[in-house]
This record gives sequence, structure tokens and C-alpha cells, in this order.
Amino acid sequence: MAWRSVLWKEYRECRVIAALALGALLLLGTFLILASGGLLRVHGRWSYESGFSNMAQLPLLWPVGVVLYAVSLDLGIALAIRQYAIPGVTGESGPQLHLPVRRSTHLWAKMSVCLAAFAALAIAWVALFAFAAVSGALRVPPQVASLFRGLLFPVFGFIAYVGTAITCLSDGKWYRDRLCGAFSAVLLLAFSIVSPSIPAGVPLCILAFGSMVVVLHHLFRARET
Amino acid sequence: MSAIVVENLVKCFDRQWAVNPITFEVPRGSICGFLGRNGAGKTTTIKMLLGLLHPTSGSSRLLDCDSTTLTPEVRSRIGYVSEGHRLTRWMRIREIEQYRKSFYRGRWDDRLFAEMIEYFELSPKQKIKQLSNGQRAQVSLALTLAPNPELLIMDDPTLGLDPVVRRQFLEGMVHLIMREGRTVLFSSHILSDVERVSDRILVIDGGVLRADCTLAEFSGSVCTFVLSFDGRPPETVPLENALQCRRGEDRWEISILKCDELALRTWAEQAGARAVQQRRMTLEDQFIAFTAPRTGRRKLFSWEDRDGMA
Repeated sequence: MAWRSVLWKEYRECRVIAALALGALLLLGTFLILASGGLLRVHGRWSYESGFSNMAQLPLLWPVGVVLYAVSLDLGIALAIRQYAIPGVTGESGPQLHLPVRRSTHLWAKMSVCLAAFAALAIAWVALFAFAAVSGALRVPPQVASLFRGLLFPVFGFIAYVGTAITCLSDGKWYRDRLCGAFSAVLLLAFSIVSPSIPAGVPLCILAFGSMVVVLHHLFRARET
Repeated sequence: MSAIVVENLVKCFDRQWAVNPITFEVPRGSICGFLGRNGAGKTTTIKMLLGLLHPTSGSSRLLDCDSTTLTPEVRSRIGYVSEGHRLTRWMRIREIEQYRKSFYRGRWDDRLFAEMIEYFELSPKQKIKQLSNGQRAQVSLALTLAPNPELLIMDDPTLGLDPVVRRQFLEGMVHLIMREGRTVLFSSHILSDVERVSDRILVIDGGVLRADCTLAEFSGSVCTFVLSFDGRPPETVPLENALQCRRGEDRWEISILKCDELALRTWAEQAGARAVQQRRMTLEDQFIAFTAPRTGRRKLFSWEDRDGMA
């Protein structure tokens, strides 16, 4: 019962941000697919005559995947700020943390809502892929490999979320403690991109991400208000 | 048996002492006013009691449970009203009631909550963000009292409220206290509120606990005397325990802690005082005298010199 209530509260507080991200991805993604297929008029002309027609030569991962990547990172950062920084500023976190429920319950509820938001992004990506494949708008048919590579982007968003959350929850000096979370996330993101070509790269990424989650858990449990 | 036990609690923020070692106990069933000026360390102490801040050293126990390891079960027996009544702004009263209720299975008193909301003339459909400060305080009190807490800790709950709402708030508090064995610790700047409901007071000043006694003991231990002189009064007052001394053109006004009246009158006679009168003090006067800087008050206005007030 308490878990459901905490989850409901987190969902209500994050749904607008998640909906905006989802809407942005779907709108921009659909526009880019249609525009590159010449199905849209741009500035009163068919897009075949505009620069958009060049995009039809590109695989799906380049124009729409970039949007997914940017939206995922922005969503991760925005959700972390909403969940960890704002309650501290408004003073709501004290009474919340005094509620008779384990602190880890609050944290898992926050992370669950965040995971659900990224799952929605992933589903939207699959839908955009299906649309691009079915409509035949792209001259280069989207590859299944692109679909799976694109599915990694919401995972990158989750890394950005955990990194920002660590930064929001850390005390102390910015250059010494607070930026550690953001810095680790940036390093991990950079490493994640090249990790498939490095032996044991993926397990290392998973290990590093696991460590970040453990740090976040520790910081949240020890949080002061 | 005490509901709150604090032993040598210390909090230091970046080399600045917010709370120096303080030790006190609040007996079960008592109403304890926690007094102190701005920045005295009241909120820091309360947050440490509730485990929302980690002490630098020392320990505290609430309902026989260490503050740093309060379990959900113990928290459910402790009500907390935060400074400024910080509630989730987007919720409606009905929603926040359902939300809070889900954490207090078996303890939540639906009838009490409904009665309080009705008494405060609020509608369950109202959103928290649309409520005034006073109305938010009322909702906050109803939410805190509905789970029937054994221990209620309130951080300046009447700050910024008008006299009518303040009175309603205090009546709500008294409602809780009338139930047997309930303990209340509340910090406040409004001395009349403390006087109205408290039976004990704690006075913290500069992070140091300076009084821990009953209200009657405190009232009896701080008094003010006005010594009138025919000419200019002496330059200094050689009295121990003098809290605040103000020199006028022909008088000394001296606030003293645990006054030895005989010593005072003897000195006054030797110094040539024409009359010695005890002045009636309110709790507010006593609090101000008690917490005023000992080293002498800085002048706020230039005319203080002109009028002969030192």
C-alpha cells in the first residue's frame, strides 16, 4: 500500500516531463521520417526539392536516432532534478522522509518511474522504426541493427539520470564532491559508445553503472534535509 | 520515562557550530516549548532528533529508539510539522489525506481528520497550492494529528499565522494533548503561545541550551529591577547574574537571573539609589532579557545616546 502510494506520487510528479519527452521524440521523429521521404511540404515546396531529401539517403539511426539520444539524455537529467533537487529546495523532502516507510522505498519508486519513462521512449523508438520500415519513406531501408543500437539510447539516458541524481544528492564542494556524479556519467557514456569494440567493454560498463547505482542508494539513504 | 532523550548532541556545519553539546530530556505526557532566537539551533536540533540531519557527535533517542535508526514503525508514532508547513503543492486535500493515510495502517483516524477539515472550513477538493499559509498550517495539523501520534514535534508551527488561526492551531494541539500520555515538543518565537500551552521550556541560544525547566521556574528566575537615582547613576553594575543592564539619565534598569534581592538592595543603597522597584515582566520580556547579548547591546538608533540610554 505504501509502496503504491509512493509510486503514484512519483508518477504524478514526473508524468508531465515524461510526456513532453515522448511527445518531442514522436513529433520530431515522425517529421524527420516524413520529411526525408518527401511526404511533407517544407516552406511551401515539396521536401524533395529541399535539403531534407538528402536525409532519405541516411539510415534511420542518424536523423531520428540523434533525436532519441538527445531526448533520452535530457529526460534523464530533467527527471533527476525533479526527483532529487526540487524537493530539497521546496522543503518537501523533510516531511516526505519522515513518513513511516523505508528510504529505499522512496528511491526504488523514483527509479521505477524513471525506468518506465525510458521504456516508453524505447517503445516510441520501436514504433518509429516500424513506421519508417512500413511507409518506405527512407530510401535506405532501416536496418534491424539500427533498431537495437537505438534501444541503447534510453539506457544512456538512465546513466545520465543516475549521474545527475548523484550530483543533486551530494554535499560538499562542487569541484570536489558534487560534480563526481555528473563526471562519472559523462565518462561512462563516452566509454559505453566505444565499449562494444573493446574486449570486456560491455561487462565493464555494466559494472561501472552498478557502482553508480550503489553510490546513489547510499547517498539517498544518508540524505540530510 | 522520557519520550525524548538527548545526550551531548553536537552539530557542526563547515567549521561553524550550530549546536554545541546539548543534553535534555522531555518527559512523556509533557508539553515542551523549545525557545530560541533566529539561528539559535532549534531547527537543527529538531532535524537531528528526527534523523533528518546526522549529528557531528552525541546521540538522541525518541520513544526509546535511536534517532539515527528510526524504523518506519517508530516514525509512525511520531508526528512532525515542519517549518513553513511544506506539503506537496499539487495535491488536493483529499489526495494528500489518502496519500498519508496509506502509510499509517490501523492508526489513521478518518473521523478526526474530517472533523478538523470541517472545523477549519476547508474543502477536500481544494488544492494545497491554492491555500493560504494559515490554511496550509491547518491541513498540516490535521494530517499530523490524524495518525494519533504519541510524540508530536513541531518546528515553529505558528510562524506567519494570524491570531485567529494561531488560536485554532493551539486548540488543535491541546486536543491531542488531552489524550493520555501524548508528548509535544514545539519550537516557537511566539512567547504567548508557549505560555498558553507549555508546561516545560527549553531555551537554546547560540547552539547552547541555557534553560531546561518548568515554565513557573523560568518565570520565577528572571526579574527586572528599576533603580532610581537623584543624580547620574553609577557607571557600572557589579552584580553577578545580571543579564541586561540599561542605564538612563537617572536610573538603572537591571534584569537579573536568580536575583539575590538583598545583595541588590545593599548595593543600591551604597550607590545612592533613591528607590528600588521590581518591574513586572512578561515571558517575552524574560526571554529577551535571558537571550540578549551579555556584552552589551549595540545601538540601533542614533537617538539612543541623545536620550541617555546606554
